Amino acid sequence: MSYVIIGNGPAAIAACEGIRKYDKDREIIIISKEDQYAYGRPLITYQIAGIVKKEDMYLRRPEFYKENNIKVLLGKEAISIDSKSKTVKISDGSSIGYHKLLIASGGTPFVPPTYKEYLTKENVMTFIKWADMEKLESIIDTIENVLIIGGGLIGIKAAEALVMRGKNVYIAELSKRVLPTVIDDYGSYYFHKELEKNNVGLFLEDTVDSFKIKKNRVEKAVLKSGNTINIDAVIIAIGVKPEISFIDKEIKTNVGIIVDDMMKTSVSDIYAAGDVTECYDIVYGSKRLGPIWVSASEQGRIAGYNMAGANITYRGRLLMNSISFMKTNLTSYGIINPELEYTNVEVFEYKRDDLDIYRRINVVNNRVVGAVFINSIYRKGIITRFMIEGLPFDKYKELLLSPNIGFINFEKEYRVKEINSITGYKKARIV
Amino acid sequence: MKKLYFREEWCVGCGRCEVACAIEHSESKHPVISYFFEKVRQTPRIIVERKGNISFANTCRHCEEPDCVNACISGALYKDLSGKILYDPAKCVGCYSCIMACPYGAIMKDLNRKERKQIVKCDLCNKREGGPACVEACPNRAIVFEERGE
Ligand SMILES: Cc1cc2nc3c(=O)[nH]c(=O)nc-3n(C[C@H](O)[C@H](O)[C@H](O)COP(=O)(O)OP(=O)(O)OC[C@H]3O[C@@H](n4cnc5c(N)ncnc54)[C@H](O)[C@@H]3O)c2cc1C
Repeated sequence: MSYVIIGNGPAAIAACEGIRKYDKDREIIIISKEDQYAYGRPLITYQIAGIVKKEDMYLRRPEFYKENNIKVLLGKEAISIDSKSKTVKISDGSSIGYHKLLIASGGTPFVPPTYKEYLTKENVMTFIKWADMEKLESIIDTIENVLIIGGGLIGIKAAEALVMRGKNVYIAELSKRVLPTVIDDYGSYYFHKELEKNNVGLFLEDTVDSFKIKKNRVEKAVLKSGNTINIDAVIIAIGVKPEISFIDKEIKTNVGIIVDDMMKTSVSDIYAAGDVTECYDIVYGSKRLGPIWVSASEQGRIAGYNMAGANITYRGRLLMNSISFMKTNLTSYGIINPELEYTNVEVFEYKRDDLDIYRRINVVNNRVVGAVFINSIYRKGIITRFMIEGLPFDKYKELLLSPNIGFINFEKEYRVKEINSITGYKKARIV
Repeated sequence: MKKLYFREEWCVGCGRCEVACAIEHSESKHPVISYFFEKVRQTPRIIVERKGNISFANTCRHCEEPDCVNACISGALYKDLSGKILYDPAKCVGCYSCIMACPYGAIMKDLNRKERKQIVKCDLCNKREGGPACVEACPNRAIVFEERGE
């Protein structure tokens, strides 16, 4: 019997590589609802923008699957899992038995019930997959005014692509700032400024109340605030939630599938990885959702190792996002607004208004729990050490606030060891 | 696998490794032409840090479990069969997720490429005969290229 993987995103690909590190032989079967080999999901907006070509969007070379003895069932959906008989039922009516199963089904867009009926219109879409990209592409030359519902990561990236294509873009966002989950109030000011500069119409603390339809197309949106806008297309980008509609009821879930630090679910021989899971988060110190690419890859790889018989644990997820809108870049880590979680939060800031640079570090009990960097890219990843290793903030305050961060301010012993590391930074532990 | 190692006590902070790196990654591999006449002036993939009388170079560790590769949303960063972490600029969309994730701060924004956001990183002078250019350029043998561990 084979290793079976449901889903074909970064978690699935990393799992294949993880499995092959320890088991070169046993066949892997991937069940993929989308009829595409694994591609960079976030690239769908870059493709619309004209930054990347379709053929460059694939994550691995075409030979990857064959070289690694992976059979991919494209355009096939897993309908149900039976953990008693260890089989997965597929949309074409067949069933596949598994030796070990990985659920890497990612997320599905959250669409409020009131908007659902409009998704059948030819100019209304969500924006998370290849088919969405093609739907937008098919009408792009006929549209001028686009409304994006939701100013989160996907909404902002879609807005950027459309601005680059010369479209007139509106964003309606329920919160009082864009990117509400990954930016603080002050940081959002830079994005509001950049959106305005690019003539994006921003409706904050606002959303759509109703649409007006004409000939199977939405042509007007009436917002809660009373504003009415004429539109040629609507992108619904409110958020995603774990895709668990098909899973065995024995598998323990909350909003996502609960996994342990070896990526095992509550049912034996079934693992889960990526956006679909609730896994341990280093900074929060508890299990929670965290739909980010880097963690999907990490979890997939760890799951793969363990499915192939290794005993390797994950250090846990560190939330992080890097997102640009035109010339403004945001990188944020961990807990952005810790006031909601802790009482003894200290916030440290560095600002260079002339360069539009802003760095904010959130500290609790002398430990860095989160950070927001605007337009401060240089060597920014060094800060992850502080969150992963719990290095004392007070000792390194100047270093962390400076945009010219480096190793020179670390203790000699630490820096000599680190910059000469033989294996590189470790995220897994062998038990 | 052979990697770069740095001897802080021997480093004089001259920065020749940075210069050699930029030249090696240029088209002409010529110091003057590459600086003044090429379309894109190269950004060094190695960094010399200096403070008082301390200085040392550092760059990519070619990690066994590379955070940058896990973070790469486009497949532009990958580990080759020898274990090197390499970069395919044609696939890169310039999201800087790799810079966000690298705990060594070893990936640099491509400072001089204006038409497109890109990054640069150490490739251990992948195809160069005689190994990495920085090693050869160091007047004090403060950078070594050798096998330590597996
Ligand atoms: C536009 C956009 C931009 C983004 N930008 C970023 C970014 O810059 N940085 C970042 O960290 N993250 C970003 N993300 C999020 C990132 O793409 C996800 O975190 C990542 O793709 C999760 O990987 P995964 O392997 O868990 O699942 P996914 O990539 O979601 O893949 C899951 C796959 O499983 C398939 N599937 C689901 N159910 C079934 C079934 N029953 N049977 C068969 N197949 C099934 C799905 O069709 C899908 O192809 C972005 C997402 C989008 C949509």
